[in-house]
Amino acid sequence: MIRIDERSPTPIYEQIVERIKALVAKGALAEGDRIPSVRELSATLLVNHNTVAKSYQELERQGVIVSLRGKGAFVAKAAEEPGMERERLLRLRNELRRIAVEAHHLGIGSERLQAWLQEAIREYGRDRDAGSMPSAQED
Amino acid sequence: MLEACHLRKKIDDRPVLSNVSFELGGGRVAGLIGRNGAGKTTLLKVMSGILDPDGGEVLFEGRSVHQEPEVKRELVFIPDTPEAWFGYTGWGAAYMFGQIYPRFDPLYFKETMIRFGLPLDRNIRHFSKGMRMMFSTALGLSTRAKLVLLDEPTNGIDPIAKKQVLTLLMEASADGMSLIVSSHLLEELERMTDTILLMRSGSVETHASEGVADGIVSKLQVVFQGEAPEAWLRSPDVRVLDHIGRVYTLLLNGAPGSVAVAELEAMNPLLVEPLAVRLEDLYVWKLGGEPNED
Amino acid sequence: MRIKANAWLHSMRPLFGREYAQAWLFIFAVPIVHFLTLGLQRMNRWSWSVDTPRMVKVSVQNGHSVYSYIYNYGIHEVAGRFWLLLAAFVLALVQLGVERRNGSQELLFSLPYARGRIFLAKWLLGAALFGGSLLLNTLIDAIVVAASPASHYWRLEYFSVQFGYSLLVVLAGYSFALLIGAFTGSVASQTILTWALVAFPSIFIELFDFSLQAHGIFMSRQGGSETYSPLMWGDLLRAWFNFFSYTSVRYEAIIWSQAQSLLVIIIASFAGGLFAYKRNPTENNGKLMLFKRGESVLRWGFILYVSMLAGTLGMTWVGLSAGDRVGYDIGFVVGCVLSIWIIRALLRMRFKY
Repeated sequence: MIRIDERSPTPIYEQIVERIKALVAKGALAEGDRIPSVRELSATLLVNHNTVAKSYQELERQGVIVSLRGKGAFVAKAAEEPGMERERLLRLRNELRRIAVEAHHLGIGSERLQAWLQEAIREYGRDRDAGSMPSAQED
Repeated sequence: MLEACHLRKKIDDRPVLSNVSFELGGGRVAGLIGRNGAGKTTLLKVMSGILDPDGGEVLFEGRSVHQEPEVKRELVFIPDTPEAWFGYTGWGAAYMFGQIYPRFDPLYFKETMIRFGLPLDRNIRHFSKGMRMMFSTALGLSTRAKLVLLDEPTNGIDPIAKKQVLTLLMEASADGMSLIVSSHLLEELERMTDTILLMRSGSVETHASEGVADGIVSKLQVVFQGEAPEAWLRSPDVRVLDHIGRVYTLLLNGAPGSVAVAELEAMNPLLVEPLAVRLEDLYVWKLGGEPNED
Repeated sequence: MRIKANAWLHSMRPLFGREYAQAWLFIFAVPIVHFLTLGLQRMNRWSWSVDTPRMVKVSVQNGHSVYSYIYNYGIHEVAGRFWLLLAAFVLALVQLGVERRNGSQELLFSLPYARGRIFLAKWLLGAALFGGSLLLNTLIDAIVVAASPASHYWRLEYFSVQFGYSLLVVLAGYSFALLIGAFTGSVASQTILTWALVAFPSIFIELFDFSLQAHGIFMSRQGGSETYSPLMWGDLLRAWFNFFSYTSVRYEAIIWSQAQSLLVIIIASFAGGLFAYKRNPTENNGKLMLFKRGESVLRWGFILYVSMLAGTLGMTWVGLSAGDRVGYDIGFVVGCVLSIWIIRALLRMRFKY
């Protein structure tokens, strides 16, 4: 369910964070689902447990998961109120702005960009129930 | 937890370890890498008390492994072949280790053997190479010792067995055991370990596994304007990994004070694209010039 | 104190277990073969004897000595000792030489035990095996005699002396074999060196004598080999370090001084073996000799031995008119060159066995 890309310049702990967030966004991991323990994920991915623990800390900090002592880590309730996540929202908007700028320089029309965005939203977006088709399987 | 201080060892008048010093904290996974014949096995054997060093000492939790062998109740060496257990069954070996190692866990041993599909009541001599290695690892980790030294635990075993052995190692590490793993599996080691011990000319360099080559070497894809600067490419700060047509993949000395990057920029190449530097690149950078001593 | 001893024994258990696993065949074979050489022979003589106690008494009164007649001079014990010595040599070979090549030693050295303890466990296992076999078979022997027509001549002294003396001989041989094993690096060199050193005093002195004689020097020795006074150190060595004579001695010739020198051999061999085993340079396993100093002793000893042997051969084969000396010297030089070349090659080699 999570695969590490050896060739990617992204550090492994960030890759794990991204992958788990993607899984949650896709709905493959639903709220309240138990996510693998550090020991399990470390053993399946063959990644040092400190690295996995670091990813989990980051995920927890971002509010994606919550750990309950002695029970393991679970997918957290998704952020309902934007205010709680102001910093992350800001970053997300900046990211979108950067993408728009990049698209401009690459000569990509807004139609196309919107289509791509729609595609991504269909796959990961939260209004899945609103008639969009189920996403293709991750990896 | 483990400290090697100025270890020296000559074998057949050849200095195998000339000055080995490093330190490893508790709960760590260290990868021991180096060319064949660089002395990895010798180092592991010195650390486990099989060989006496000519000079220096090995301290485990502050006590000398050679002066006080009792400290090895928490330090286990797993050799690359369990020849010593020929004639024993899995149970027999577990029985003996159970008497020696205070925290030996027979249940863990049994479960691991079953997980690996290994019979507990068959003579180890009749195991295949892969089975032997899996048995050794299972037995060694069943001691639940604080530190386990493994000499090429994946040598000569099939990919499935390899994955199983590495999985076991990761679980043991998550359980708090420290490991030193000698291996040539650079990709796996880079992810699995938090420390890399690189053996080079009889000594050991310690690197953190995360960003293993940071500040040491950088990897670039370069297209030069016109002719490639042959002299520059041969300079000691540059190593050509490969070139396809005009596209060169280079390792550059990335140490502070190195002028290689500045020189490259001065040449104003058509393309300079930084690539992710892997442990393998560090290995080639550090050891590529060393002759294989086998 | 008892608790301490118990804990110590408890911690030694895995080591004994390991030694036992390595040599379990011995544990059974040694007492059985020992019985075949001693108890069974005695039974052949007495258990099915048609003699009556009265006839035995008459025989003894007619001049048969008790020990020669009833106990057959103690030659069954001699046979038993030879067997046990052979077993001791093989056991030492299994415990040390064989162990070097199959990874056992590396396993043992990586365990949380001081090397001295490992060596002690080996020695204790062997000592218990041989002591046990001797005790058992002496008891059987004593019972056989007690139940025979010769029971009138049952002598506690005989059995206790034979037991004690045999134990000393066997332990001396065993300790010595372990000592050799502790500084040789392979099965082959341990085997050869054990036998060479056991035979060393006699052969060396003979060769040395020949060499001197070839050059016209005759060492004076008074009388035959039994009675000459041990003037030369070599003769002393031959008298005090001769397992053959220790083993083959008959009951009535057993004396205290032999027991004392055997005890010295046991203590010296054990101490030397322990010393060498503690310093065992594992990386030299497979070589002829483990230690540098051992290598040089072996080198010069070998060269001297072979040269003197070649000289003696040269003396008998060449037979020049110039006399023995030229033949000897030619042989000596040839032997010297050959042996230097051979030993250099041998010392460099690593043996699987």
